[in-house]
Amino acid sequence: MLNKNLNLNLALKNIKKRPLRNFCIILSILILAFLLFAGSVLFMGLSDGAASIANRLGADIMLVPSGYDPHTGSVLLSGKPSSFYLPADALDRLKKINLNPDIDIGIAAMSPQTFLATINASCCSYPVQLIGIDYTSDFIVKPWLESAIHRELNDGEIIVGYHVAGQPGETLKFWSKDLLIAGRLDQTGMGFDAAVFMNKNTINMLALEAERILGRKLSNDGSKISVIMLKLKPGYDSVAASIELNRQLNDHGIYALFSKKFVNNIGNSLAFIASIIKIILFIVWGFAVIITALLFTLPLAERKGEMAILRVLGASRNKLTGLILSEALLTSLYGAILGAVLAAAAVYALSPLVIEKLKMPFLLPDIYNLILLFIGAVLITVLTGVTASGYAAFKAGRSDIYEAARAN
Amino acid sequence: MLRLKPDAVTFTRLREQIKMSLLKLDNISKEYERGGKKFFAVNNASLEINQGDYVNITGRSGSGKSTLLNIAAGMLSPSAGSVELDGELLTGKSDKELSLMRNNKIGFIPQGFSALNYLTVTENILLPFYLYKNKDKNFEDAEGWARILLERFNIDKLAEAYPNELSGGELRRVVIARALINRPKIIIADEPTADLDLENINNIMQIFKNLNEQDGVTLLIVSHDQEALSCGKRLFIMSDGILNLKN
Repeated sequence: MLNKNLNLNLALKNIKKRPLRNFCIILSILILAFLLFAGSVLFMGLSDGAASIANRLGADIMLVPSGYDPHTGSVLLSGKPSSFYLPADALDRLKKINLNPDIDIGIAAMSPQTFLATINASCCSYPVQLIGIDYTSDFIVKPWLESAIHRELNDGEIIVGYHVAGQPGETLKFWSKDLLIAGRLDQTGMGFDAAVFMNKNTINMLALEAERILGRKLSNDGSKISVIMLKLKPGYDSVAASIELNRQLNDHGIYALFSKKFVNNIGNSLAFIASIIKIILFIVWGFAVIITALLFTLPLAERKGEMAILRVLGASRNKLTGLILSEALLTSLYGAILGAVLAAAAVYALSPLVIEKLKMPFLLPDIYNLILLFIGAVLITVLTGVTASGYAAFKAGRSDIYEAARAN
Repeated sequence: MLRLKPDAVTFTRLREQIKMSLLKLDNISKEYERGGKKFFAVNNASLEINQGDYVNITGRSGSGKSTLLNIAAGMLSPSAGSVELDGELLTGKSDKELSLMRNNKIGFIPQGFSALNYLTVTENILLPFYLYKNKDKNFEDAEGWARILLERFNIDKLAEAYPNELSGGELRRVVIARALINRPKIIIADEPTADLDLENINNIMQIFKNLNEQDGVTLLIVSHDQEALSCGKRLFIMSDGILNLKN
């Protein structure tokens, strides 16, 4: 039965009576809303991931074994377990360079880290990247590790990344050693989410155990240092410093990677993905506008009789305009909500796969931002649908009542 | 306290008020251009309809009957002349005012089977009532009135049917019920019996006759059908845009 909200009622009944036409409109709006929401989430997730990596990286230069810089990316971004080691004398060489008054590259702090990949075997709960940090020199990881437990890690204790199973108080077995979980980290969108952190003593103990189980040395010279993080004094250029370090150390199997390059590479990929998303959105938006406008305008000739009846019964021009806009509002709302809900489901189900394929840092927006993006996508899509029907609504309102009545 | 006895003058005034002019078309003309030549669809037509009147207009196709009817209902503006409905001049009124007036005061029955196919019979009948929100409107009364009309026109069993499930005669009765839902001052019908068989024509005309005689509903009807013209109090003939009263 009709009620006081006549426009919405008529629109609703009209939609039900014209399923094919409205299915096409709803589908085009749905696709727009889907891509708008999923695209926004993807873009925001990647932006936040890039911001997170820039913040968390914290070092101006990373020293890695020559030829291992892509592996460093894997560890930092995807958390793919890797083991690689700098020459054993890398730290001493660096200290010597720092003390040499002829080479002024402005090193303010340096801290080694040890990477140890576990294996999927009875020795370990599951394959994971183990990262050992030197609490005495660390200037990067320690602050956010301590924010998780508010104290330094003791020997035999670990802090697990966001995606690593296990609660504080429980133990995880790595290289046949049970380690106590002291805390958990928040999500970072980086490889750190799949990593386990421990102090230098613990990782050295595990490295020895790994060598015993594997029956071989982890590195030829017994080195237990995978990367050295460098922080420069204010005013020093990390690019110039890394060039100088490479000149000094490259023939010793050490490569200086300036972090900006690393972050810039991510930024470039992000900009590329953003432009792809924008182009797709623009094309889909254009299609949605054209389809909606056509599907509302073309049937107007066939609907002349309907418009005439309403005019004869006393509907003003504005009421007819309102009727068409109400139809557009309802169909757009259906499509927009359905599209955004499907996009939310797709983001939830497919984002891990997409992240893996993109090989980029990804931080899923928090629930507050997700709700905002959802509402934004629905609003923009509904506005698009209603605006696209504007011409049809205007034409319906301007139709000559007498001519329309004669055409009926 | 002085009490006046009604005299002859008072009675005459009362009678005049009862017979008050409801619709007044004064020297109406409507000019069109066809093939570069101007012509009058309606030429200087005047017509006054009082409350309770039953006026028929007939004439050949293209004689200007429908044009005159649309002008009378405020759906078409005349090239010259004035229209007065219930004491109000239609000239100069906005589309919104004219639409509201049409909704409140006129029950218009257009040519053809004019119902919205996506609404049920009851919803079609109630459509003019729901077009405008008004705090004085009683929705339960309107639905009750719709039920009475459905029963009165013998279409109550079709209340939940859709227009495309109805015969031509049934649909016309639905349209008449729809025209009555807002209890208008006047019913204006454009060829209400067109495309109907004789039995249905007689049914429809009986409905109009009863509405006029029993309920005092004012009627202005344009028709070709001789059967339809047998009812009514006055008959006008339209020819080439000129309206003449048939004696």
